[in-house]
Amino acid sequence: MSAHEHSPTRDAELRRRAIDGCDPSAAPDPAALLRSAEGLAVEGRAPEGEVLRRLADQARALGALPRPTPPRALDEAVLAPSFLAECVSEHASGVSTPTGPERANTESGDVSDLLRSLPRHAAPAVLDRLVAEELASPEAARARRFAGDLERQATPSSLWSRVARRAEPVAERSERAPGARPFVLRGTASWSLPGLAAAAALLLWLGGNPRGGLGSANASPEDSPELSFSWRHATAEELSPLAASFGMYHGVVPSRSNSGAPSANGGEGGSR
Amino acid sequence: MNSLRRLRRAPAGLRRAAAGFALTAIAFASCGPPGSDPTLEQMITAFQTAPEAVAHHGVRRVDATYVLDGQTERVSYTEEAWIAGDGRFHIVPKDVLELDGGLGAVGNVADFVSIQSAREGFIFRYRDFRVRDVAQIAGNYALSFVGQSTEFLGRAAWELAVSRTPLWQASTYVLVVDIETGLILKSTEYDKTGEIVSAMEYLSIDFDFDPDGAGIAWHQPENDETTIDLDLDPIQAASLLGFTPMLPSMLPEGYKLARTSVVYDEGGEPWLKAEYTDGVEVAFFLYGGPTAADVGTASTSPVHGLSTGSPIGQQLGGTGSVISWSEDPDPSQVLVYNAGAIRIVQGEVNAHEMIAVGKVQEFDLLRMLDTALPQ
Repeated sequence: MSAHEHSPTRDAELRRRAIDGCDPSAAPDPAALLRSAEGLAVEGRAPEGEVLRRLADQARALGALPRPTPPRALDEAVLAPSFLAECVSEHASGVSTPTGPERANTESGDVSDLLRSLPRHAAPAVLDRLVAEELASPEAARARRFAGDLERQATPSSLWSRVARRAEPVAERSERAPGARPFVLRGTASWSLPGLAAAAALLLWLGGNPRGGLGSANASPEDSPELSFSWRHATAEELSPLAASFGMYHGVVPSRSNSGAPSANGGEGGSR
Repeated sequence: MNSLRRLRRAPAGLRRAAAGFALTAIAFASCGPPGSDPTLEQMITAFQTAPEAVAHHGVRRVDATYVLDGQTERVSYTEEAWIAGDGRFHIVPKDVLELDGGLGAVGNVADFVSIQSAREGFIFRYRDFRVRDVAQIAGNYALSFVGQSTEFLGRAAWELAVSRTPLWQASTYVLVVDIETGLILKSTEYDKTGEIVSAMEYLSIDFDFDPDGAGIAWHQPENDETTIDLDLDPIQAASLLGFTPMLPSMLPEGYKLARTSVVYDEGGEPWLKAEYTDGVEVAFFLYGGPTAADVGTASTSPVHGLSTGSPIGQQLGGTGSVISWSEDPDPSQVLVYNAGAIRIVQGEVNAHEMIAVGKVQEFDLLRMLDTALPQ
């Protein structure tokens, strides 16, 4: 590649050399760039000189733009306190910070004074409550955050069927579609409070009815809520020894025979 | 209204207990009986430890009533109990007072005594009223004092009523409790209609006997029951059982898992035994694992813990004949048996053997089997 050919690498190199020759804290000096460009042209390096001439034109155009001062409130709103502290600490250590608000006189290096001059804002009340809840029970707070993001599953229709069957009187049960909802919950949102109270009273009455309703001990197999198997009442002889051993709390398998009137209790004289 | 009518027909003692229930919340939340310092909660905690921690020797009477197909059957006997206070115990039946209908099942009193002796461990742990979980009791039971403090066998005692909520569906225990030790000296169990279901009463008691000086043949477990923690060491559980343990996901209301262990049936096959409690009562779930579809017969099957071929094992049938399983049970059908207040459910469903037992509704036990099945 000849010295007069252009390439992205060469242009970048030229820009870097031009900038390196300038004070990094100051804006590029268009006049200096032009002088450098003329010098390169004299040396027979016109393409490089042309790059510097374009840089000079850019610098002249940018330098002609008006520079409004940003409002102080904008600086305060944009820059975080941690960044301010970083700026302050860098300034205190002598490192120049390319950006950052110019505040109090920093020549004295008094960081604490600078911090005290920072504006103070009261945290909103809700933030206090949220932080207190988090500190009181971090696990619960974490669970609430994650649980809220969980996908909500729909109740399986078989569960509604079970609830519906348990809430209905035995005599009034009828075939229900698996997806049907219990009657006490249907249209609940539109029920008035007396209606809900009546439904609750009905459920409580059903619970106290020994002949049926909720979980009756004498329910027949055909009245069973949804189960994945059939069942029937059995005799003691059909029980396995293991089942019988756990069920016979008093050690005796009750007989299905009836001895008639209860025998008189002769106290401890009844032994044989 | 139905509840009030039933209450008016209830025995007087139960009505007094029911009147005390109205003060349950106050009694449980505040203080003990008049003139005493311990709170009710402290008493309940003492009840929990007393059966095993209080050394004593005594004779007690046990009564039980079964209702089968509308027929009432009764059993009444006395037994002698030695409790060392350090976990050792020995319970021996003494006299059979009444076996109305039950003799037909057993054959003779000697066999009944043998059966009870073989069930010594089960009787000590599960037969009588016992506080198994204080927190569960607080959530599931209503407690109140019945009348003033009383005296029983020469000892100062309190009379308490403990009733499973909701009250109109509940069974009730009326307890006489030794104030000094917290030991229950008498308990009477009523069903929700006010009829007595079972009763235990000390006829004599001695708190000063020397457990190590009496030459007592303390109970020795005859099975190889091994407690396991399914959460802590599921691999150990699976290796002991030989199959993946299954537990029901839906339990009777108010029950929670208390303990899991491995037990063995008469054939030496392992079963997972899960013990649930509502604070007082116990419900069992046993899982025998997946099995082949065919089920054979088992003759001379003994009571759990007895040796094979014993005469007791041959007398467990209702007619005195040898117990045998149905030779061709419906593989999809579950059997339900009601022994008074206790219900037993057993079956092989989808080639999974399961048993559930407890003083709960049939549906609760059936649902335990249903929800333990692999989905």
